[in-house]
Amino acid sequence: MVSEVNHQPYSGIIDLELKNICKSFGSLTVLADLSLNVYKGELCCLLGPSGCGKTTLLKIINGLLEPDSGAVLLAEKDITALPCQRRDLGMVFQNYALFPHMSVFDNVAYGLRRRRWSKDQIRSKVDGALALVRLPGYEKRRIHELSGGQQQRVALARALVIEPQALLLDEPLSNLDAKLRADMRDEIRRIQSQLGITTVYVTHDQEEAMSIADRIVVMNDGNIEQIGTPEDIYDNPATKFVATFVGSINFIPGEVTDGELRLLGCTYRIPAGSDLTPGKVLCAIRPERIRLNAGDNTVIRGKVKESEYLGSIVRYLVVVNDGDTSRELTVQVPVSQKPIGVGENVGLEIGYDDIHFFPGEP
Amino acid sequence: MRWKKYILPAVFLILLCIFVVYPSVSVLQESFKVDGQLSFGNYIDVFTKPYLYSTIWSSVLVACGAAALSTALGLIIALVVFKTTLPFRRLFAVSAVLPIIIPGFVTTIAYIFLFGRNGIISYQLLGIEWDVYSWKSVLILQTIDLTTTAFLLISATMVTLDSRLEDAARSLGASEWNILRTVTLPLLRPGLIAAALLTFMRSIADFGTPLIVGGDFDTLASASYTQLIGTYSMEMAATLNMVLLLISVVAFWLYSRGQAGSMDVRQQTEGVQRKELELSRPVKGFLWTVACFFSVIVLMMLVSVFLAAFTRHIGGDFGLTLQHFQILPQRGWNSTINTLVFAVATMAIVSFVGIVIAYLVTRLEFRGRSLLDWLTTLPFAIPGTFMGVGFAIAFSKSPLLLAGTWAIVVACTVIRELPLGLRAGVSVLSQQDYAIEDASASLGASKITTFFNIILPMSRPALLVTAAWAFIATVQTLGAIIFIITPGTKLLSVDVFEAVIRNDWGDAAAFSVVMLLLAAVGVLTIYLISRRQATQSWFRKLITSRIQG
Repeated sequence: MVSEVNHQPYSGIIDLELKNICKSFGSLTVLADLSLNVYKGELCCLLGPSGCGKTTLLKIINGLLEPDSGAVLLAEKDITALPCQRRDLGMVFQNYALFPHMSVFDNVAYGLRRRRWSKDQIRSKVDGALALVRLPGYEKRRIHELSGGQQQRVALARALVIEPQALLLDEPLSNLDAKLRADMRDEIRRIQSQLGITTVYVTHDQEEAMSIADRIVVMNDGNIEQIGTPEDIYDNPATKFVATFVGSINFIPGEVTDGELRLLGCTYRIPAGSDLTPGKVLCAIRPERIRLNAGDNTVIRGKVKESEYLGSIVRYLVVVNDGDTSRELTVQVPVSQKPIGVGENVGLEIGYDDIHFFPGEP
Repeated sequence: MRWKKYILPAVFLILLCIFVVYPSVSVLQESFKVDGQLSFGNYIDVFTKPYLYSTIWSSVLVACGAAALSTALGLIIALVVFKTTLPFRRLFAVSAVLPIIIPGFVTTIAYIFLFGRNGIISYQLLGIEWDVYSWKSVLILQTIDLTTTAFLLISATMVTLDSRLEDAARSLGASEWNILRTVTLPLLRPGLIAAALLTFMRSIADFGTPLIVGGDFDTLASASYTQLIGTYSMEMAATLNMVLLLISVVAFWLYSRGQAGSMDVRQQTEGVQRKELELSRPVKGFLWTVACFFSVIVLMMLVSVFLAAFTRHIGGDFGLTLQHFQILPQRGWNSTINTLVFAVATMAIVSFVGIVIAYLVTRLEFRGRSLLDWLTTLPFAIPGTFMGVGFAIAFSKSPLLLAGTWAIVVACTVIRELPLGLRAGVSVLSQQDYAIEDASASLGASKITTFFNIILPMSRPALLVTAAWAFIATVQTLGAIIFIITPGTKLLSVDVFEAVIRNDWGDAAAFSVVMLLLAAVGVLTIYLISRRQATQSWFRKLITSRIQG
């Protein structure tokens, strides 16, 4: 399925604009002066740990919560003061929020009936929506007769049938099991790109965000830490938080002295044009960027403490001596590489280009 | 736009002020009046005249006794039903719940048939002559009546009790008796406390039983009735009711505190496993004997009422007859029709208004929200006689001269049953996921559309059950309305009461049978309207909240 998906470039047209949104509950500040543009036709993921304010932000977009200050603009129209039911937005809820006392058809038709569409129009629209989510013929089913994945599709159809300006999804996959989650992820992406609908997708699952999003907005403590494409976020994390939250990473303190970086006893030449300043610096290396070898002629040496076989990869915990202290590094290598036993000595190679720097955060 | 959301709450608050606050204040005012003058005289009398202050002690002692006994009985029956595999346990459960549809006086009448001076069992069978009219009879009758309440409350806690905890104790080497003592009973404590306090409140508010079988024995509630009807002293009736209210409110306060504290225990309902305890033979034997004894008494009472209604003279002439029922057409079916109409009206209003107020207090933010909640719940803690006296004082003079009208009777029954409607509504709404209403809003529905399209249909099972209970309760109600009815608004429960007072057992039994049938038909109708699983589980759940009202 994934191959069908064509990641569209940014349209450049701002569809949904959040301006200086602030929101507190009592003394707890949930969103502090947050601004964000979502472009027409893109799938924008709000990613962050629970409590980071992403669901609050979604509710503010949807009109279920009122911001303390700031503005929400949809297609250049200020909708901050509009109540939820007058905003042109489709919403899919975490637990689907399907009406249990109605059939599938009535659930999907609900929004159209509120818009006083005619019976025939409703029938054909609902048929179309159910076909879109690949549930034709399910009209008469009751909600409790459906599987989790099917309920998810009905929820999607119900949100899309009203042809909203934008689609909002609040952790839509968190109630599904792992296998189904991957399928539905592709399905949502397929429908989204087919319709070209502007979409805001909230999740705490970084893998889900990476696989589905055009752009990811990483949030923490009510602030945006970084906005970028999945590649951007993973390869150039802007903050220490982003680096740890998206993927796993090793942190090692290093030191910069006139043009050179010292890390784990190894010395690197700092290329010209780098903005590293002399002093202590926090270095971060992704586990899969560290290469292991027999250790005969490498500067960095260590001893394997634990190994974890994960099918396609093997993850090692390697203890490396760094001056007086010893550090534990996670290293990830393809399973095709020759296995190393626990207790064996290894050499580690780290390329300068694979190191991320977080100055001022030793 | 902002003020719009205050319209509905304001309307309800005004109505509650008229029908709850105003009568209550009237009682308070009246209690401080002696011959129209402001005075503490009535209170001084209550606490100095022996025949008055003895009623306080009588009330409290009998209520404590009835609460303790019925809680113990309720616990024993619940243990037999849920924690053993002994024979007849289903029958025990049914007979423990049965008194709900049996009007209060029916048990009283039956008791006198069976155990009275000329009783079938006490005199004709055993040849015992004893004075049935004493505090002992009050205690016995209230215990039988309230065991239902206790049994249901304790069962509600018992079904949420996770047997895996008992298994854990078992695996740690505890004997079955030890498990019961150290795990099961401590976990049931919230239910036991709730049962004890609610039965206490119901016992102390009961005025019919002491009046009929108490003889010289008077409680606050029965004394307030005799003060009003016998000596026409509205002031003393008001004063006694103030004292009664105070005791009742303290019990209610303790009860709500206990409820709030036990939330953590009650919440776990999902994935609960239930399993029996393998108690030793003597223990099981004891529990079974007690439960069996209780069931036999309840069933005997029921049978004896039917006997009394359909035989010439119970105890003397067992020839079958319908003569007692002649009184119904003689009265033009007046009270039967009234009872039916009032019950249907109360049922409809209570279930609808209950869910509307529940929606307001759970879903909307407005000033006075907790006041609305509190004022609606308050009548639950107010004894029936207090309410009745309050209504009698407040609405028999201008500006709200409503005495003798249908409206005032319905207002009274609605106010008394509304706490139940509100609690049922709150409990269904707080279980409902907010996201469902958010989804409706996000699809373009207004709050009112959402209420009628989503909330009402989803609350249907709970609404139907509330309706059923409001119906039964209204059919049986007496304590409050006896003070405000007039010949034009007479009800069956009042007919029973009056027939009992004038020793007309046959008539009383006939009226009782009609009441019983009305209640049974009402519940059955609603039960059949929706035979869906959801409704039936709500029945089980709501049984527990009904008995509070």
